[in-house]
Amino acid sequence: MLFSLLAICAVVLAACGAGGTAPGTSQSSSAGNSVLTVVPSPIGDFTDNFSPYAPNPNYGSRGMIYETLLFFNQENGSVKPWLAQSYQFSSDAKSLTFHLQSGVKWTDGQPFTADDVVFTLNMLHQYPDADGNGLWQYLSGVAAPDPSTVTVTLKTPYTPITWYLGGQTWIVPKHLWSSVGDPSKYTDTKPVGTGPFVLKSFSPQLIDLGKNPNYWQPGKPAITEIRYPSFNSNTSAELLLSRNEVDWTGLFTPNIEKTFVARDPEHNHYWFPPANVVMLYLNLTKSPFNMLPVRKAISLALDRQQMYKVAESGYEPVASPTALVLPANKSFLSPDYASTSFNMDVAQANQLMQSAGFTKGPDGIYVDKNGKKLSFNLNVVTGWTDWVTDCQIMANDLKNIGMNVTVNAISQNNYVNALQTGNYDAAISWTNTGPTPFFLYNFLLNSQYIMPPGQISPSDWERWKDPTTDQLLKQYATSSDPSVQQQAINGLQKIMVEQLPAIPLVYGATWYEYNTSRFTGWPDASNPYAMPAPYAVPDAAIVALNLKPA
Amino acid sequence: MRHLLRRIGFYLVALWAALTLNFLIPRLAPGDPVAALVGRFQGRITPQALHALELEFGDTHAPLWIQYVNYFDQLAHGNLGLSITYFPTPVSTIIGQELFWSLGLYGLSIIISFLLGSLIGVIVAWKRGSLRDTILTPFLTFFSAIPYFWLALISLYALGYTLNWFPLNGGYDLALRPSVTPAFILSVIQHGILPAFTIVIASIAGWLLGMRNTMIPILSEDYVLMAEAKGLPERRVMLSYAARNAILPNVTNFAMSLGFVVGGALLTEIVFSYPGIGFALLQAVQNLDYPLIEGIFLLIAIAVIGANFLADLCYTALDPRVRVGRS
Repeated sequence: MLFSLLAICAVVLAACGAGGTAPGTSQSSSAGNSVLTVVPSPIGDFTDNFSPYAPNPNYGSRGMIYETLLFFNQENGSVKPWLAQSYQFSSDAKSLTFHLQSGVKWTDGQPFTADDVVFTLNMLHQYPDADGNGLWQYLSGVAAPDPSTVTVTLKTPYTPITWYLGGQTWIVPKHLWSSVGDPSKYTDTKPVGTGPFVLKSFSPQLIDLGKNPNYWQPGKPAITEIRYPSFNSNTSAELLLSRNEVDWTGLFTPNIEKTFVARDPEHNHYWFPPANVVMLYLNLTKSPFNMLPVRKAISLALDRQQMYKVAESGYEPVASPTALVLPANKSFLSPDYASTSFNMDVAQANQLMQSAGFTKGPDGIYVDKNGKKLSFNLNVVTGWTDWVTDCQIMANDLKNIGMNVTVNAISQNNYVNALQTGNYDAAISWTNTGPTPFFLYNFLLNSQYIMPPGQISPSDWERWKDPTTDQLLKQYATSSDPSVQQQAINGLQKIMVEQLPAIPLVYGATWYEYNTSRFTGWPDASNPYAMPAPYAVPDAAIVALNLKPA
Repeated sequence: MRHLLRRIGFYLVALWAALTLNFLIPRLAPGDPVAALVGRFQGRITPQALHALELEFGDTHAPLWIQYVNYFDQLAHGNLGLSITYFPTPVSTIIGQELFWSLGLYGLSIIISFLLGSLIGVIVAWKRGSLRDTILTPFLTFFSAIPYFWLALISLYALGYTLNWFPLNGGYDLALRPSVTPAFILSVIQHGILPAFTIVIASIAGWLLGMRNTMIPILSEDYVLMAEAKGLPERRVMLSYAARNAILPNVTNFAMSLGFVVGGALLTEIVFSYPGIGFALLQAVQNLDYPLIEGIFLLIAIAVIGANFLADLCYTALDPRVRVGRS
């Protein structure tokens, strides 16, 4: 009796609320009011801090509110002027000059000048824990010869600095931040930036951005409001996405053709461009991974098509042996490798193993010259199910060439720690990228990052140490001549293909789903004008600026 | 009085032990907060950034006993520290913004579940073996046996998505601003019904069975027979005589459950994207965010120990035999 009373109450309340009005959808395009609803990633509730230098900046802070000097489009390697309308290196590549846009104002009305840029860079020098890009490893000074020019001097020539300095440094206003102290410890609740959006309201469950009416690009942005609701998991976000109540997401959704596209093929779209290269890292300080024939054999034995189609649900194609992210980096592809791809050849792999001095034991497992069986662990993060499946496929494949591989699914902390301290046999992992292939090669192969065993190496986890490689990386970094840089990239591709310091598997995808019923102007494969994921910065702002109400 | 002081002393020792374990356990896991961030960002963090963060998060490499002393020193000043995941937001801010939701949803759900479960337990125990008992008890036990996350997912999909009876996510309609207005309160209730419903359905059988199984032996006691023979109305005997005695063990369990409310309902928060402390705790553990982990565990420890203490007092008040026995 009581129970039925309660049930009746519930239904009545639900009916008077839910019936028809799907809650959270006050984003009708009514009378010039166009609201974009975005779910980059389910990271839970937000905290009130919009400093772009916080270790975990809020959505909207980087790009929408605070801007950069240049925009690097990682989908094709092009550079667009942004707050800086042009830049050039001196002939010795030790000095970099930016000419700033005119007519840019902060949202509190003050003019944007070279002083703000100089202040921002000096602030990062004063507080190294905010200098996430390590700019001051290379910078020696910065000056403003006039209010619209900034000159940066470098300790040694280092041209890749333009990506970090021009594309990933967020300019903040001197007149408000000079008294702030450490920017990474500053809780910026009323952000003042130069960007196309301002903070309209904040609650832990919703970040609400409004249009900046005085934005320096005339007539833009066309949308009036951006909302970031908080989510704790993909579950509800995916349901809302398939109901068209969310415009733009960066979620991994299984079976996307059926669960998303099929519901409204005219408006529901997705595009997963490759973002980085997922690789099999072999610890080169351990035998037999230091033997090239063994690495070649391993690469030949892997069924990458199965990883692509089965483990990655067809979302992440097989990578290129050059470790270039294609098609984004295709302008850097060496003519020698224009049509090189991985093939699977178990027979040849076995031959290579035998020529390297291994003999197959009675259990089918190879044994080295000292009689030691070839068996090792393959690390992966427990819960990252697609990679766990990849590892299971690899373990199976490697059994065919006499290797006894155990998939070791461990916690994320252990996994990263093992990679960084070199305390592992083999592991599957991502690679860091940038606008050109240099950044991937630098992250993967630069021996300057190798620390003694037991200490943390921030990258070059496989411990590749080769003077030719380091020389090529240096050649690229010290030249501003594109043909010299391309020569270096060609040399690095050759090393990657012929010596296999790490073994590329499949691409890591950019997650991007979008709905064209309310807005048009989205990036896609035919118009890759920015990295399309809503979590990419400052690319998300570039996309928001290009959108128009449908 | 002496007895009371002894109990308080015991609880203080328990609190100290809980706090020490609270400090030690996260630090026993290998890795550190910076490594955790690397995994989280998967290729979107440069080697230079790692170094910057090492500087940021400071003293996680200091010797253990120094960290321990600092920890108690900060606790004594009510300073829970800065969260690493949400750096530089203080831990107390994060707990503050989420606690209300957990207390509201989870607390109310547990109270409803307890009251309903106990009431139904009393009724089916009184009428044991009847049709009502035979159907209701296994039916409600069935829902407890279903894995909770599955129950939550099915409810979300069927009732929220397919039938569109309830909202799919959040604590309130995001078109409204949090404020004490009727529209906002109605929105909160509306968003809370489905998550609360799943929690109640999943836990009701526990209370029901507990109540029923305690009541049945009591019903064969002499004083119940005497009360019936005296001609007292059935409802009076059922509630004031039998249920009143049977409720005692359930009260203890209820007090303990209330203590855990401040830990949040993680699965509920994940499936329904409902705000709360459970998800913050999950983030904290995944990111080795020591200050946030310790802050939340401190809250849970205090709440559980406090609830236990209250249950102790409650028992003394409810059961005269305990009172007499003690003095």
